[in-house]
Amino acid sequence: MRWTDHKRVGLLYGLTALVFLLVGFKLMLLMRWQLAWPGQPLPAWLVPMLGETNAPGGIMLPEFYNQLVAMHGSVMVFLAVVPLAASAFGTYFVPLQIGAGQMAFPRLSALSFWIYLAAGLVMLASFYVEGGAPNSGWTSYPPLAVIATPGQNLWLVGIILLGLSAALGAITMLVTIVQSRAPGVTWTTLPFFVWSQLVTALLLLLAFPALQAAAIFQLMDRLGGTSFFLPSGLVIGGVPLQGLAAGGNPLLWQHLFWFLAHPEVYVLILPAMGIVAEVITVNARRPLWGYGLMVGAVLFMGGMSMVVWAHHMFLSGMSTSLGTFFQVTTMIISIPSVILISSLVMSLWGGSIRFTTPMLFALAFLPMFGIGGLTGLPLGLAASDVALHDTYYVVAHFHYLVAPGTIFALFAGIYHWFPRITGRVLNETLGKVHFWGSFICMNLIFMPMFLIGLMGVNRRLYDAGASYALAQPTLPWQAHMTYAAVLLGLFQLPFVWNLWASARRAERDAVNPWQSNSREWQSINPESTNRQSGSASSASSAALDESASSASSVALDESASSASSVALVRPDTGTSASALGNWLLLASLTMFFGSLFSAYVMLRAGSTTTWPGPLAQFPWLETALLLGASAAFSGERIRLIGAHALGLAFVAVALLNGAVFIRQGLMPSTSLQLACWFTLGGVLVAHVLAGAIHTGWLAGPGLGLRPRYDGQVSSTDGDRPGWNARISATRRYWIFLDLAWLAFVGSFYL
Amino acid sequence: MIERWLPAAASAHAAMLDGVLVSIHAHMLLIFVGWLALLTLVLIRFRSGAHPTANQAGARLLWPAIAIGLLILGDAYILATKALPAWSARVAPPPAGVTPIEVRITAEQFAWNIHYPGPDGVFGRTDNALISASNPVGIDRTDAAARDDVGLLNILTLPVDRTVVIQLMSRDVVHGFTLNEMRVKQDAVPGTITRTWFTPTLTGNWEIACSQLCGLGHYRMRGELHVVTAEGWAAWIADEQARLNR
Repeated sequence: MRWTDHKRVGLLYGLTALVFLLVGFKLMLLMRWQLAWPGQPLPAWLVPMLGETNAPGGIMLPEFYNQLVAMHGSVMVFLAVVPLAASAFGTYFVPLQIGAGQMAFPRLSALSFWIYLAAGLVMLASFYVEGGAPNSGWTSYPPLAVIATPGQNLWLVGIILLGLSAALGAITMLVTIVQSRAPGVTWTTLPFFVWSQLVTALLLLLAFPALQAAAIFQLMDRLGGTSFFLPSGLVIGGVPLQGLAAGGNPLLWQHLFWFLAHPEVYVLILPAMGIVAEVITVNARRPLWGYGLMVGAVLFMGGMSMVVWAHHMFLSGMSTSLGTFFQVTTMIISIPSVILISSLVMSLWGGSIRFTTPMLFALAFLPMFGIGGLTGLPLGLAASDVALHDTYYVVAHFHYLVAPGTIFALFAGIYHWFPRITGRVLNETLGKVHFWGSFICMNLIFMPMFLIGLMGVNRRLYDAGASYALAQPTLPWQAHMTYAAVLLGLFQLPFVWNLWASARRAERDAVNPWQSNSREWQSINPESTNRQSGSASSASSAALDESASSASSVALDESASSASSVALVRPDTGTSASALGNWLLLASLTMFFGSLFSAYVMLRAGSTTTWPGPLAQFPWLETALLLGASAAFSGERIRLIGAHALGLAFVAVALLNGAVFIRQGLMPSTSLQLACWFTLGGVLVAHVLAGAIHTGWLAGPGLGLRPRYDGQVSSTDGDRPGWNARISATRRYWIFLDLAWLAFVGSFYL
Repeated sequence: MIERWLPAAASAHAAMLDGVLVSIHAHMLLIFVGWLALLTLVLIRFRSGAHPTANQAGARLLWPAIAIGLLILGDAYILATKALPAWSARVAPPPAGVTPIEVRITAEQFAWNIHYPGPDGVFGRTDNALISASNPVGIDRTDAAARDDVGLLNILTLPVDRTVVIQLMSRDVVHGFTLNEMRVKQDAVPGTITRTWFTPTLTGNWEIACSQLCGLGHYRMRGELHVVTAEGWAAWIADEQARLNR
């Protein structure tokens, strides 16, 4: 198996994410110890691992507790659950379910994994830098995060890398689903699991750039002396902050952060829905109920998730009209959730339900997600949010969605698909011990948190609220919750043993142990496409009828990854993989630059002082160079060299411009306007540089891809579409840069 | 049922917000119980032992349509008749005709600095350079309007049944000003002044909590709210003025 094989990449994603899940779990156990017995020494064998700086005399410091708070959230969301749900299951099973031999861009898919791994290691490395890991929550609200210890820099770098990884993964996933479907897998027969992955990828592609932009701004505030998020007159620990332009806006971060982080919630949930739908249909022995309704609900949910973000900010001083908008959108988004859950229950109606381990986890997902979803309603209404905001109620709410919700769905997926991966079924007895133990412990941990929250105890308190009178009755419960958490950890041991022992077992089990009709089971055993009535599984069953032969035989083979076939236009979609991938990249870049420029607009509009006039140095020269580069760009060698040179000249002039500013004492820290100029300009110049380098590559080594007889060759020349596709993709990129530059000129030079 | 878990309701608007909280929870509970009953019924009735062959036709649209219809109706009803009006009333300034007491509260790591305008009702000038242990707010006593101002740390004293407007600020990071019993929670965002108001209806000693993670001392950023009788309030003012003139 190659390193770019989707099964290997999926497995790497899965195993890595499971390790991060374990890391996040251990961080949680440390927090739970502190909450149960605040101020008491940790177990002696743990103390050397934490060190004297974090736990002098074995007693955890609040500084370290805050690191655990931030890192538990970051690891669980960004490094464990999303990669497992979206990347691991998606990369492994989407190509199998749509009969594609590979991901559309196998190398990009593999690259997305390695970037994710690097991002994870960078984030975890923060525990070893001065001052330790980030300590401002996974939300990293400034100014707290801006004045935090250096670990925060690593968190921000990790986030930027994760955004890159997510974009590569999402583009590959979307193009694979659109372009690499086997004949017969149409939009109306696409398995629901694939739909859930498609919407997830769209959300990641379009929402993550906002957080990347925000992370760049925060890095600039921390390292570049700017003050995007720092208002005037800050006094930290009695000392006024000096040498800052100030005038920034802390709420800008919250908007950018939640613009990603709310869709991220649906990224956590949608793949889980897809897995549960798959497991339920297979084990209820009947097709999904309301397939069209469910697909519609998922698409609607994805779209709406982009316009609910500020319901996290009701108490930040929001106006009534804005508050009304976000309350109404939040209530509306609850409707598709209910449609999805109801459809899953109705799918059981008339079935013949087998209570296998994967089915138990999938069934438990339903009420657990139900509790998590419903308790979102009082948080989504500003009036009831007053009592509940930032209390344990919120902690209980989102953990019900993600822990017994999504993680149960992931367990269901692992038990369900383990035989497809290894050829062996996981032991059912151990599986049921794992299920019942986890189910009971999860509820023992999270159910009390609703009451603690209603009683008014705030979250993220180092001592669980010991200094507050109203928290007193809840303190003994904290110890019980910790016992349940430890027990939950113990109940994972049969699972880990089960994975290990079953994978190593000598004898193989039946090829299709659940008698599923989904395509991923048929591709290893064509005979089993002979279905009996009463065992139809997913919505894709109709597709199997049409392409009666084995799915893998019609799938695109390894050559799908070569330059020529990614450039082939697929008749039913009217586009090629490379063109679609290019457009998706530009969509993601549009969201990225859009976020950067919206931040500029918000800062400028909210500024109390009038901004100085245009910052012109040599704007017309720069404009001429950049527009010249894209005008010159075409497939001929001389014009490629010209575009390359003009692009590089633009970069040089822009850098010179920056150097002149700095020489004149106009630094990023001088004013908010210069901060925006340097940051937005720097990002833009980096993108032009990338375009110039790629164009230079096309003019040099890449020229070998060009057809030998330009314009004269027959259509059978395999290289020709590959070359032309590269040229048109790169040209679109140059035009995108022109537009971004014109927005820049309009913002700063006119 | 939910009410018994909530902290005491000690402000005039608390009942209105609790009403939203209780009605939305009743709505949720109704949906959840009905839905869980359906799930249980389905699991028992269609278990493979009792129903060995699956039926491909499946259920009709009626049930889920009714459930979703009820959800939408319930959502819309609570939103339109309770939640939105309650929130508008909270965001709007106090009703005309009420002369509120104004207090400025400046949050910092990890304390609440409380600034009363004094009997003249005018906030005097403040200056961060003047901040000291005895002058936590940094009141500039050379300003005529500042002479009667009172600056205190962490203890907010208010009279019962009088409306108070809090002008909330922060010196450093985002804090969350929380008075659980008053049903007041508002972020203190540096660089802006946010206002919130309430009318205490019960005398007693309550707690001020910080709800936004604000650093290592977040857990101990606790203050006190003393709600006193009208006479107690007059005596408190006299006391503080006497202390100033001493």
